[in-house]
Amino acid sequence: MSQIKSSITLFGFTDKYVTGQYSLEDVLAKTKKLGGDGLEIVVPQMVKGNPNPSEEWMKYFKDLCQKYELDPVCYSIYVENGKNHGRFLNEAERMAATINDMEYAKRMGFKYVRSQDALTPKTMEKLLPYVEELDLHLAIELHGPYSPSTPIFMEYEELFDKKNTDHLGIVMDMSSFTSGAPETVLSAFPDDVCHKDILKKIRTLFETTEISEEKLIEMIYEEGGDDADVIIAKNKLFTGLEPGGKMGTIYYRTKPDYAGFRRLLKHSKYIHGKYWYVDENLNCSGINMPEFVKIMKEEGYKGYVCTEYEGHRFDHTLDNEEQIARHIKMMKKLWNEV
Amino acid sequence: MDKSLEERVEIVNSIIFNQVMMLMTKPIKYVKNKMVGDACIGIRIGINNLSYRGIWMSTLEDIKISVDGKEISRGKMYFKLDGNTYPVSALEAHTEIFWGIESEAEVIIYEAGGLAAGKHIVEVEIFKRPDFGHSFGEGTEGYKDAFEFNHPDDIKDSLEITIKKER
Repeated sequence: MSQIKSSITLFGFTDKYVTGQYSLEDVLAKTKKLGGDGLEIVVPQMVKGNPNPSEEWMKYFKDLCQKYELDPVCYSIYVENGKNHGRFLNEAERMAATINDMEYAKRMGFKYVRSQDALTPKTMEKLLPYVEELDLHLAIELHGPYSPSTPIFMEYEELFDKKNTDHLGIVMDMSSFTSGAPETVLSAFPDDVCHKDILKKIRTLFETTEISEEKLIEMIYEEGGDDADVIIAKNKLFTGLEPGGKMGTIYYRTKPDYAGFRRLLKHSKYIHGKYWYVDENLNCSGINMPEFVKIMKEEGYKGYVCTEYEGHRFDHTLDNEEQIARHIKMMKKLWNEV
Repeated sequence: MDKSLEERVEIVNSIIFNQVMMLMTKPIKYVKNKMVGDACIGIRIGINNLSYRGIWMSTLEDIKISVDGKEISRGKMYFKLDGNTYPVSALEAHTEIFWGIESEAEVIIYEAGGLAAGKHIVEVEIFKRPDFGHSFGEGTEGYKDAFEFNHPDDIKDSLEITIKKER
């Protein structure tokens, strides 16, 4: 049986890298040690000299990949629409920036370039000849709170179907396919301010059943909970959205769009295995990974699953390296068992 | 539970709604006097990177600094990045300058004498647009509805320092 290919996003080491505890070499050494076959780099984070790294730095990076036997897989770029006060980037700027990033990606040996939905489908279409010329795969990340049925992603899907090429595609992030909050969602609250036993039960019910939010709130009161528990349920268990609705938030759907996931798989070479907690028994509550792995196998998915740990969002005390290793083990176990 | 319902609701609300922006590092790195030889010509405030990734200098909409409660006028403030210095009032125009994670950044306040010996409180407030978001469009088209770009983050930090007696 074919084995799943594991990539680790270097983003998982953000805290130690940004605070200077880990160098880039430390990060790559850890990536290898924790079980990654390949790596993803967040370009404006770790590519020194971004957006125009030097020849010297690129050689240094390639040598490190060779030393630690890691495939440079995914080059994660942005659409920097915040750059100018009072206006978005225009199409010429989006194209120039993307082509520039793709050229560097190619020279460093990356296969995939991940961009963002703000690139727009029409600009992506215009970029196709350049992607073909560089023989890369340019993909748009689908991240929560968006889902396959969000209008702009329906437009992207239409483009992928129309072009039907290996050079354009999507990176689905599991934050778009999350059923409920992770187990660690209650970690931020001290034990003496809420009824955690009740909230744990409500969290599981929200994730696994179709019981309405109104009914779940009634249940909190019936079980002896009070207003403090209801505030937590409404703001942390029933939604992952954060005030302001900025990018990167999560949307919980008891029934995520499995059909959309299956449909988009044919345009996928790389999946963002976003998660916030994997327990010691290799379960990742909140995301129905067994079902998604089953779909991947049924569809003959041959790409990578990238381990993308973001657990610090809910619990700062967890060991992120332990969490990364657990996620890779979980994915391999599921791949063999499901 | 020992705490009253009112107390608990207050704690829960503050955990959920008063979350400060997630920063990996404290914005103020250090505060020092700026010396030329033995003459003190101002104050240097080291600033840590403000995101999990590098940022565009042009996303810095404003920097406000007060020393011991007194606000410093914008015209005295300069931003130094990787050895180059820019007036704080000009930062937004520099869409070509990228502030990488490993870059060295500081705000320089040109005020002869700098900080006198003794205790001081330095407060910094930085207004920063996000570098990216879900909103999109061509140029100005639809930009007024782009919530994230029209609501800059308000990043605050303060540091209490003691300046030793001058030699």
